[in-house]
Amino acid sequence: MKKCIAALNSMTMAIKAKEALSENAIFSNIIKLDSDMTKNGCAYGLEIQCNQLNNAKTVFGKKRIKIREYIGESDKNV
Amino acid sequence: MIYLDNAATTFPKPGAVWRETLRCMKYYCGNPGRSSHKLSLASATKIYECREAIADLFGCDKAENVVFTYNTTYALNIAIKSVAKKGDHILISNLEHNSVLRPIASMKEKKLIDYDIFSATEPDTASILENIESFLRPNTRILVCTHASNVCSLKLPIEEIGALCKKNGIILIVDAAQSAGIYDIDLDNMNIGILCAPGHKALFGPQGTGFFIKSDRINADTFIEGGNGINSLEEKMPDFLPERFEAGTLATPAIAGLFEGVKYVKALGLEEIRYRESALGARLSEILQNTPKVRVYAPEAVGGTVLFNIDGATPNRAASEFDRENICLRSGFHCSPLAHAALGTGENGAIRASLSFFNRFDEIEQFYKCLKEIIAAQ
Repeated sequence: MKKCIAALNSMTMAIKAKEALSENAIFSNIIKLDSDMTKNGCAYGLEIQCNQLNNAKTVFGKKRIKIREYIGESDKNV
Repeated sequence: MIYLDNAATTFPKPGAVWRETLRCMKYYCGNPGRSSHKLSLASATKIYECREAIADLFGCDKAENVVFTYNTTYALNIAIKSVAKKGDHILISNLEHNSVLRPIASMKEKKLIDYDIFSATEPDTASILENIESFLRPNTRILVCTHASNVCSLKLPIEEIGALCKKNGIILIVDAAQSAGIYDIDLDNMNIGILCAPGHKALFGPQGTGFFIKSDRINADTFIEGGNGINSLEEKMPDFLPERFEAGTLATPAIAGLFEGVKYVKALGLEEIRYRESALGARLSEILQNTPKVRVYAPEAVGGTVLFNIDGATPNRAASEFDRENICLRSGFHCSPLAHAALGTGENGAIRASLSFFNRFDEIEQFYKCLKEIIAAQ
């Protein structure tokens, strides 16, 4: 199953986002993003199954969770 | 041991608080927000849950707006110094703790700001508001005041002061050191810009915990800069909460304990806590007011903190005599010279007895017995 990433500013926001998804039965994993993906050093992302990405976006919108960017397919090196 | 120094720090704490603090140290105390490995995530998640619980208790819908500090003094220093700008006029009340007075006086000494002290010991709310208005200047930008005094049970009408601040475009910073976990506080309804509070007092957390909650409408500069695991390649602190104001490793075990304390308070309910503390405080105040040779300050105030003196005994000597009978009280000026001056306690200050939910009526009666013995022995 393909994985997509929602990049977030901080671990705090990553936990908030993960909790919001969990409440809506969407499984996600917090991962640390490589700096070439974030441009300014340490940041975090939520790994989500790509077929759940639209549902996740709806949850983030409702909860006013700001996503830095959505990154398409990920591989395990992310 | 009868502990009546809860305004300094509460004791005892609920068992869940120290159990979780120990559990954290033993099983999951990774560095929060620094990695995505299991222990770091476990710590960060616990801290986030604590932010959520605190935000909910104080009417804030964003957990990330809760910023952890080491105590209320740190919270107040960060709040005041990150909001104040050169040339500002600041108002504080005559009941302020040194955690408000000293940073403000220091900024005045450096010619950064000017300040005035309004009277919060007026007989009614209208008079307090009138007094505040009499000090307003075109450059009055910040009002800092305590919600409840740390030396007696006087409280400030925060909701009304918040409305006055809103009307005049003033940022309200509230010191909730003695009220968080006892009185209802709602950031939005009270127009509070920044609420500063301890974790180790009426929220029953360990010492080393404090926080502030910042409203989104307040812009604030950074106060402490350093690493926080975010945007590490940038020289500047991030512009988002809470990491903008949190540099260095947080006190994870203490915050884990605080989370249990907050849950404990929420489960009991503030009304229940208030009711018990007020009933205990009323009995304590009644005893003191009806004992010859005892003077009670602000006797009309209802709550769990009572300030008094015994004729012929300095506060320090009297407190030592209580201590010999295993009763813990605090004597002196309680870091609040303004409040002592307003209440007229004199050159040696006074003795403070401060209660918590865990005190009992039989302890008050033992205190009374000891009080009578101290007076009789003079």
